[in-house]
Amino acid sequence: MASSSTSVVVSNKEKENKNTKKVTLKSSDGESFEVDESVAMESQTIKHIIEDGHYSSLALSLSVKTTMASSSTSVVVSNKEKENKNTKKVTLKSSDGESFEVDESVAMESQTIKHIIEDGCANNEIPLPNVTSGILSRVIEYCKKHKEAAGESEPSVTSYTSNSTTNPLTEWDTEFVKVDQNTLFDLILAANYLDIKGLLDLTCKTVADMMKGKTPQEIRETFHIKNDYTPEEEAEVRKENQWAFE
Amino acid sequence: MSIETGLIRTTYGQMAERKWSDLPSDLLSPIANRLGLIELLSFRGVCKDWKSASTTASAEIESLPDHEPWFLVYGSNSECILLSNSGKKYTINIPELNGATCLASNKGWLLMFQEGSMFFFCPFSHAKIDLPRFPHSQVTDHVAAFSSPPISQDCLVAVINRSSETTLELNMLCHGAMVWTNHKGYLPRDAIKIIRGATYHDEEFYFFDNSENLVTFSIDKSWNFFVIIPRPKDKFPGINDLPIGRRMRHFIHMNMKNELGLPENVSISTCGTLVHDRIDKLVLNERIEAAEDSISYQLKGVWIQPRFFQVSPNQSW
Repeated sequence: MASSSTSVVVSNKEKENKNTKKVTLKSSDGESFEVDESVAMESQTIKHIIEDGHYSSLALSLSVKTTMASSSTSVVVSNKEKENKNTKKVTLKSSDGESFEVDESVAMESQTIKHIIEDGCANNEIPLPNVTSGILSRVIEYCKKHKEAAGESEPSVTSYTSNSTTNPLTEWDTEFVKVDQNTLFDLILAANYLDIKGLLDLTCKTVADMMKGKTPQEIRETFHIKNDYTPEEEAEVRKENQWAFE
Repeated sequence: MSIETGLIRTTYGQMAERKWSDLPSDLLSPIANRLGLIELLSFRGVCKDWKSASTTASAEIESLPDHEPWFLVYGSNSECILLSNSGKKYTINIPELNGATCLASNKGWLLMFQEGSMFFFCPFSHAKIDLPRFPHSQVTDHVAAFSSPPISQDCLVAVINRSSETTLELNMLCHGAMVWTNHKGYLPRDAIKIIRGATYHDEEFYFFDNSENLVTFSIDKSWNFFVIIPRPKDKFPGINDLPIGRRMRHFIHMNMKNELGLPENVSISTCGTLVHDRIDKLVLNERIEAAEDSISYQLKGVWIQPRFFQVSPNQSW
């Protein structure tokens, strides 16, 4: 949210006054970024340095590598600029005939799709006969969110007060898998077919968590599984696990 | 009961039932691999397909850092008490532990000694790997450590004991070897008291006592003797960082006798393990005496990570 509101502020300022004060931020590996002072002050650290006057008019050295600095400044400065560029898109078609246009980079979160594109068999529309539209839209949502998070490799420069060690994605992921069993089941199949490791890990972990504290019979009831052990086999299994459920 | 719009299923959950049983086994495995011990046992009891999908699962999730070890009490017939790290108590029948003594515990494997024979054991799956006969027919102050799980090719086992006031005796076994090799260490005066813990780190075996002494035996067969001191402000030569922390009197600090519901007239000797708590820390062995020394009985205990190792019946050393 900070980034989108900041880019609005930047473009407004650019419209108002061409002579806005600028600072130059220099990353640890020597690359310089000239930004509006107001934009740079979205960082409390930089704000204090500026206010204390402890910098030359030319440079503030940041112990931040180029790629991270550029991604945060580009997020801060020109999210809108990025959007206007021609990002390559692909169309994914679900089993029930619905088409979804997504950024190629987002689609490539799926190794399966990545291979199809790299092999040049894409033709801009990729059919996915094993995934329904309902599931595909969720999978795309997951890929978008995770691609976005990977791009913003630094946590928001404005959240100075936040001391949280939890990955903000973890909370989003937890909400994402709060779905009914059938959807969860279909997400596992889709994550496997599309080869999206993070999604497969997440959905499998969710199913594993559903088994916590349950006896075999309770698990059978939760997942509607039939007990196909013969009485002898059942006795053998009981021997193995009885102590855990007495 | 699942009711689809416009359709009523006459058999309980028939529609849903078909779905989860349709999950291919290569997708059941990643689920099984993420289960803790108790859940894995449950999983295996569900049906035949699920059991066969779990052959490579070993409750590895219990190995994650900040998963505190569980505690197993044994030594009075085959009935053992297990206390989980969340305080839940279980009673398990483990006949293999009858008359045996645990010399080392690491990552879910126990090194057991029984009247001259040695074996690696996983008490929850009953997986057992026999080792070549040990040169001693009895253990007294013996303490041991092993470098890696017994199924790995580079597993090294070391058992140390004091053979005289001035000599340490170490018996070592390399993976696949059929005999133990014997190594003697000559102690400088007051070098170490009773050894209370052993572990392996970076090509060296570490042996600790209850206070500040440390003896190491490296795989190039050299002995070294150290004193552990608080980290000084300045670094100077001859001082190395201790890569392993220690947890002393852990059984007492955790109030285990109470937690286990053991009576006052029980004495217990415990075998420690390596835990991960920001850095690796060795829980030392302890000997807790009975409150009164009349009519007391002896129990043994071991700190253990709850794992479920499945090895083939013809798995040999």
